[in-house]
Amino acid sequence: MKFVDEFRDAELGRALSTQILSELEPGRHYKVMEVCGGHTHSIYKYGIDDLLPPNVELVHGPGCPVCVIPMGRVDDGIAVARNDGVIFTCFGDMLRVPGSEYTLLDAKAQGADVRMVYSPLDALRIARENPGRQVVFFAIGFETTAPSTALTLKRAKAEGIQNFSCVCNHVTIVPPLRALLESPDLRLDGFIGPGHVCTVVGARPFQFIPADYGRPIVISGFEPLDILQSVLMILRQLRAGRCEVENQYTRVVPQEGNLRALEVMSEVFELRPHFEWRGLGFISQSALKLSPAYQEFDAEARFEVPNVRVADPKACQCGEVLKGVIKPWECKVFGTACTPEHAIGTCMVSPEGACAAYYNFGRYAREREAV
Amino acid sequence: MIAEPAGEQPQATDTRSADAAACHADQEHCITCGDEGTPMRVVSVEHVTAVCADEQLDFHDVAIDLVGPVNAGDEVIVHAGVAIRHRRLTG
Repeated sequence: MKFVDEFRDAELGRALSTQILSELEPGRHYKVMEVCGGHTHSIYKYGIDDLLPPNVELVHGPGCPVCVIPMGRVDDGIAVARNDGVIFTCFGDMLRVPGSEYTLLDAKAQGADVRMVYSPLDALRIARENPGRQVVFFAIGFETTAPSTALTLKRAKAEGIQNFSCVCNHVTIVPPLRALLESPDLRLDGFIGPGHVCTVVGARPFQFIPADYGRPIVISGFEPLDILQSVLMILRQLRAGRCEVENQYTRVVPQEGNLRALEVMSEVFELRPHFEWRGLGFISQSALKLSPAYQEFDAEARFEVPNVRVADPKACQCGEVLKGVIKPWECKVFGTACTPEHAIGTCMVSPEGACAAYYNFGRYAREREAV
Repeated sequence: MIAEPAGEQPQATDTRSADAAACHADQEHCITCGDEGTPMRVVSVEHVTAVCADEQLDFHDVAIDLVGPVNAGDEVIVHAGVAIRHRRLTG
């Protein structure tokens, strides 16, 4: 397929790998964070780590929405789902994220009507088909997903649908990046930027990374050659003493983003004063809630929710993994008590979570090395 | 390249059944965690919905409210059933 096959060419990958070698400064160790869970998944799936020299280290960032959702928010969702007559809808991975006691999948097994959807528009369709029942969508995701929720709510309002509401957990990517850059225990040389988030928001929101923190960022596609080329572009910036936002993913990402999507988002959402991120704590203005014009669709106002903060399990080190302080395999419970089948931490739930991606693909390379 | 569909106009996958609409937990990607943007080719357009074909030639209903007018043959990048980017490839 055009724009897919060309970016998986092994020969071109090896050529990029050679070019990367030629850009390295002797004796320097490079730490590059890929912000997005989709990049993490591709890196492990295609063995991109293996094509990089040992002194170029890829660090996995907080860009997986399932991984950063705190347990208290899962408990809120379960509480809503357990209301009589409610049809509770969410993306598939959300079902297996542990709350303080249960997952949404447990709640479903216990009798709650919990359904997976591919799109919030599917949840709205379920509401149209079930006018006698309340349908709730558990909205998660960064700026790539928020427009689809906003569009859904706009349609619900236009159609006068009264049995639809949403638990809004949408988050924004810039505040956690700023928090990471302020973190004293993490030294990063550059960032691989989130390609589809930038399709919506454009490149401008990331200018603060070179401007305030002196680090380069390259907005990247998700195919193996995209990621290798982005690493090369970061290394070239570092070698040349440049520091800017570059766009590797020009075939998709327009400089200004999707203005229509941004307009719909600003109509439907407004920033929360603060929001809890798993492993990162409370971050100011890092999440979205419904704007006053859309309050009627706020499930947290329509239903009673516990709204209690729950501490992460002590054994789980998702926080350190999400900050890139430790690698997945350095977590005490990785691959033993915590596996994709029985996840303790959120990073093991989604295939894009650093722990699950590494468990599914990367661990074999390490096992080979050990032998 | 996605092959041009011929003959009878294709229908989108039946999203009326919950199973068809599901984001399956055992699938390779989670659309939101993967920041997924799936390239699809527009097959037909009706008001704010386009029938689009993905790489495997599966057909999907896609909301096109956020990308403006699209035509059959154009490519869109789709996330969660909504087109977030439009690339005109025909002509």
